[in-house]
Amino acid sequence: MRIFTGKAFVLFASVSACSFLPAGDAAAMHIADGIVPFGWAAVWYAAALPFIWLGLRRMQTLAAEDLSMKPLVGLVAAIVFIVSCMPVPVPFIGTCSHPCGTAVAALLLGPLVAVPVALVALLLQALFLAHGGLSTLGANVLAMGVVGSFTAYGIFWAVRRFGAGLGAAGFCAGLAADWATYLTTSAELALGLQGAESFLSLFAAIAIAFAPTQLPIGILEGAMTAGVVLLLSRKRPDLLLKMRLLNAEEAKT
Amino acid sequence: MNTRQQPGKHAEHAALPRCFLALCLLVLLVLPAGAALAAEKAEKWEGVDKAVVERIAKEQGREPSAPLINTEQGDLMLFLFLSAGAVGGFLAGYSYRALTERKPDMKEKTA
Repeated sequence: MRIFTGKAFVLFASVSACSFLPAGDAAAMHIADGIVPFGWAAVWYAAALPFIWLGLRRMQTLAAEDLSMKPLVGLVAAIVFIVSCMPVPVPFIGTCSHPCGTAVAALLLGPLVAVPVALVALLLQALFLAHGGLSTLGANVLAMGVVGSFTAYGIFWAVRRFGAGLGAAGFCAGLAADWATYLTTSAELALGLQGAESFLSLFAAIAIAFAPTQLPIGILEGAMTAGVVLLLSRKRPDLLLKMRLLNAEEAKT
Repeated sequence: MNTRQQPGKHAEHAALPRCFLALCLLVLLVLPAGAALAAEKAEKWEGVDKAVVERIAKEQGREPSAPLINTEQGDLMLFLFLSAGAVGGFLAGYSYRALTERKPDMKEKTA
């Protein structure tokens, strides 16, 4: 990757190294049942439902065109399920958080298909792992599935338009998807919990509380997304061609 | 192969490292401040679901309700996490093989 050279690389290495410093005491995107009032929970369900329906239709179309999409959806769903419930310790902060995995899903399957994939992962976690909740499933799907996926897809294409390589674009997509997910969660919580406090001050308080843990996790998610995209560009360039992440000229080289 | 660059292309490439530097600086600035703030309130290795979401909800007068299926009893959660990891890992590994064993020659395919 051309852009990770010189000073940028040294800074990146320094930031990464910070995450491995000795831990001190300190403070995911999954909102548990009961935290968001019923009215707001219904609003988030209503906002997420059209994307879920469109995602399911898109999944049917893709599977009808090419049967090999089914194992790919299975693989990506397994990745999203594992990644989005795996607590990753952030030693410098002393807390744990998890990446989302939806950037990988959005790039490999398209942002619409990534929504039902996130729904399945979040539903299983809510039912069996006490991670998230059923009443807050809409809010969690909206933050991780919808906003995370579409942000990853949009950022990937925006960075590619600047002439960046696959790895750099994948990194930016993963990073942006993770941070966008947590910002959306902050907004959902602030709207549901604001009471007498103003939305903006509560939103800022929640986003700042997330920041120390989520900034390094976002970088980790960016690196993971870049790794998957680069690996597939070597192993299955045809797949990236099909999803239009690569053009024919790049696939030849 | 045409090696000449289009006007403005160089500037576009130069903008990316600058953005990356700005990102790294942001992280370097926010991490210590956030760590200091978080250190006062959270238990060690607590997940941010609890350390941030539940703490702020509690401050605003809302408590999380018990999950529909309460798996936080004894070793049940450990069993479920391991089972989920094993099933998810198997699915990912099985699909990975199916996905990557074929490596078509793109030079021929795109010619």
